[in-house]
Amino acid sequence: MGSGDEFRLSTPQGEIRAAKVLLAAGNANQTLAPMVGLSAPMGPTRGQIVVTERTRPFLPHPLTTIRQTDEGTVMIGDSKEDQLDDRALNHAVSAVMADRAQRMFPHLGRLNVIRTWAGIRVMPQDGFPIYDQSESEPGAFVACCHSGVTLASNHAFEIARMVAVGALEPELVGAFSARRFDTNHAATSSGYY
Amino acid sequence: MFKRSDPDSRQSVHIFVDGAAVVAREGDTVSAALLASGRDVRRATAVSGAPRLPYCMMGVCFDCLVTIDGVGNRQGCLVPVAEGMQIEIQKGKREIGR
Repeated sequence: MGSGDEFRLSTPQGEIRAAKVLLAAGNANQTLAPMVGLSAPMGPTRGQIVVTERTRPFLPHPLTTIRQTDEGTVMIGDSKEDQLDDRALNHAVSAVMADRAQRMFPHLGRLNVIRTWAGIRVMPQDGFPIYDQSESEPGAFVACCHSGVTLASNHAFEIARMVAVGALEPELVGAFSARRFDTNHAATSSGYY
Repeated sequence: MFKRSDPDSRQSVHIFVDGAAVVAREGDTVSAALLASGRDVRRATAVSGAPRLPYCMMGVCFDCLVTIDGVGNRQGCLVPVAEGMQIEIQKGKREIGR
């Protein structure tokens, strides 16, 4: 990949040359990171969501398993499945989630379901973000995490700034280096993993 | 805006719209009965509150959402009227527990 002072990326759309490369390919970072002397141990899981029609606000706080959006829909779901095929729903899993939801909030049982789907979580092995820079291939970085939505502002304002400058700041993100996986002391649980 | 055709001789069905007595016809859908009632039956949408009337009349557009016999968000264009039916024009999101 490295060639002089630039990286060359072979893609189906042709070759791309760049002075810096930030690997932000989610679970695929596990495969890409070793190409630039980094590691990104990932442990993806599958999850399902059930969404109801809109109803009047009743839940101002997000719960782990139930959230109501500003516009009134209720998102039910927290499943964690090992199989990584997201093309088909497991209706038995949806049924369990819906049943738990209406035991917590009985009025949900009257609402119509308007959408339901399965998806694959981007999930570092211990559930926490991985931010790293390559020592063997200067200019190569890796960034992956579970909730890119929750951490979007950190990525946009902090990580992007550090990448532009050319060095991650250890005091801010040093704890998120994948080097933590080299020891036996790495955390192993984030609730979803 | 809408009027019944003169040869329509179907039996009357008595329903209530926001508590007011309305005479519908056997075989009417709730939406058809509302449109024929001459009343202001505009609902308010769930997010912006925009006024809407039944539109597609075939179950696709969901602009006919209405509360029927205490159950919110029913598609009025898919539900036939029944004697004594209580219909409420729904203003905004479906209410909790209804």
